[in-house]
Amino acid sequence: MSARPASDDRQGRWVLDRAARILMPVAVLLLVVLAWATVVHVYAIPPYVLPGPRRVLETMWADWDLLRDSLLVTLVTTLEGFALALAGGVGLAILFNQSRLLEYSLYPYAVILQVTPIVAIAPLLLIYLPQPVAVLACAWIVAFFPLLANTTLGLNSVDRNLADLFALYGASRAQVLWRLKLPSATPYILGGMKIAGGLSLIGAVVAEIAAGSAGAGSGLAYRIAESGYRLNIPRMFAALVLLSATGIVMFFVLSLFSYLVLRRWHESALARDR
Amino acid sequence: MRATIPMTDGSPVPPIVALRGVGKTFGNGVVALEGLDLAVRPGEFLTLLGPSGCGKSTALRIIAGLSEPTRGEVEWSDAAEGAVSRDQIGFVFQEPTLMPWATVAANVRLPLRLAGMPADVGARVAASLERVGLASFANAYPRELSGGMKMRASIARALVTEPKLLLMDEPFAALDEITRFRLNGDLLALWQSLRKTVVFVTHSVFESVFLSSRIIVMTPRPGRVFKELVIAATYPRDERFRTSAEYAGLCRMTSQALAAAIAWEKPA
Repeated sequence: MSARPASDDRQGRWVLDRAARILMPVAVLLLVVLAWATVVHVYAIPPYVLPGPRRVLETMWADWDLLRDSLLVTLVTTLEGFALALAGGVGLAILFNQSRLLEYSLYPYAVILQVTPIVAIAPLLLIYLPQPVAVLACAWIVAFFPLLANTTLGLNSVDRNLADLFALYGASRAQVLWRLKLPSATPYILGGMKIAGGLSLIGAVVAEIAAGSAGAGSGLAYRIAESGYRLNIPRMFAALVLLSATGIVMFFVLSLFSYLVLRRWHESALARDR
Repeated sequence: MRATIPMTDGSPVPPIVALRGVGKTFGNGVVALEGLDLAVRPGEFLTLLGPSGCGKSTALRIIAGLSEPTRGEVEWSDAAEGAVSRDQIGFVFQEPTLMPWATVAANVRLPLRLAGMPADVGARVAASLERVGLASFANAYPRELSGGMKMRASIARALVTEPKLLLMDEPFAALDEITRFRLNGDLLALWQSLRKTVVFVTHSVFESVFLSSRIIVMTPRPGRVFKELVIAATYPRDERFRTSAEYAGLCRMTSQALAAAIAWEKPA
């Protein structure tokens, strides 16, 4: 009865696996939303305590103009912070790699910047910097260290034989950096980017919340704080959903980018044939 | 005035490069080489044969300039016809050592790129790939190749600069026997048609006898020359040679020399 060729069987399993990967999380999401709606309905919880999912969607629709503006503010801050962190983290790692003395001098301070909680730094930055700059600085501070650390690791992970080969052919420092070290570091940099994308959003949110209590700001996190003061819980949820969606989209875009760059040669991006 | 190097066959050809009393002690105190005397003559296929860890790879790296000798000296010929400058050396590592992010063609092109050659080196890259039978894999990535094909790409890269001296550090050690025999044969054909000088490192008696015109048997650490064997069998050598009584006899002689080298104790 089971006379199907083995290749058909394998293909079928592959399609099933692919479908399950997408369908299962969606099913879980639907279940949770359904449970949420049911609980709100059955216990007749008022919206100022816990709004149902439908109420949140309605609020998002009704307040879309306001929320969209806030989303744009947060998105721009996050992307700017991420871009600066990418340039700063990779750039500094390259400088450290070229000059040991510079690394010895500055690396400890990069670590200090990383280990000091951003929530504690944000209020200070808000005193000394204009509010948008302070928010951007926070996004940058948290996002930059993973890029610095990962790029440094990558630049130091060059295959020894390849390094010998470059030496044998008399490669210049610039050639070694450009043709050997940076390509070797690419998978590490891409890994750092995936971490930094989420962190720059966190940095922006933390600074916006801190700024919000100081009375200025208009990003999504500020909307959440403001809606909280006004007991506008549905809008809080709506802003939270948008914030979360922003993080998810960033992660997927960066994962896709990483896959596209590495798919021809790196182990992490290769489909395994079992 | 250069010192003459004693040669077993008494020929007066000056060596391309000579190591004199070369010693190498690593930072961790390991003495890899001690008093190594070695002369590489133009056009020969010279094999350094010895047990693992006898410093034969270190000797090769010293010739390539990748490692500095702790003692002794390396002398390069300045004779007009035999002179080899640093950029006329090709090196093949034990692993294929290809850049995984670049295509086979880009890997083979690398030495020319690093030397600042103009962009129109496509023909030279193609010719080099053709020689090792990889012409149709120019746009493949290293991970898409088998172990033997990766090694072929590595050899194509070493040959693309038209080096006069080709240094090979156990290039086929990780390959299966069938692939290894094929590559041995192809390497000999290349050596004969291109008239290069080859210094080859291996721990395989059978490989060394099949390939070499001269074998230097080295002692275990610290490495030095134990015995020199001239393999007088005529080229071209093919599968018939590999199954001949002559080959078997040469292998037996070489095996005995290697066994004696391993048993050899440094005189007190």
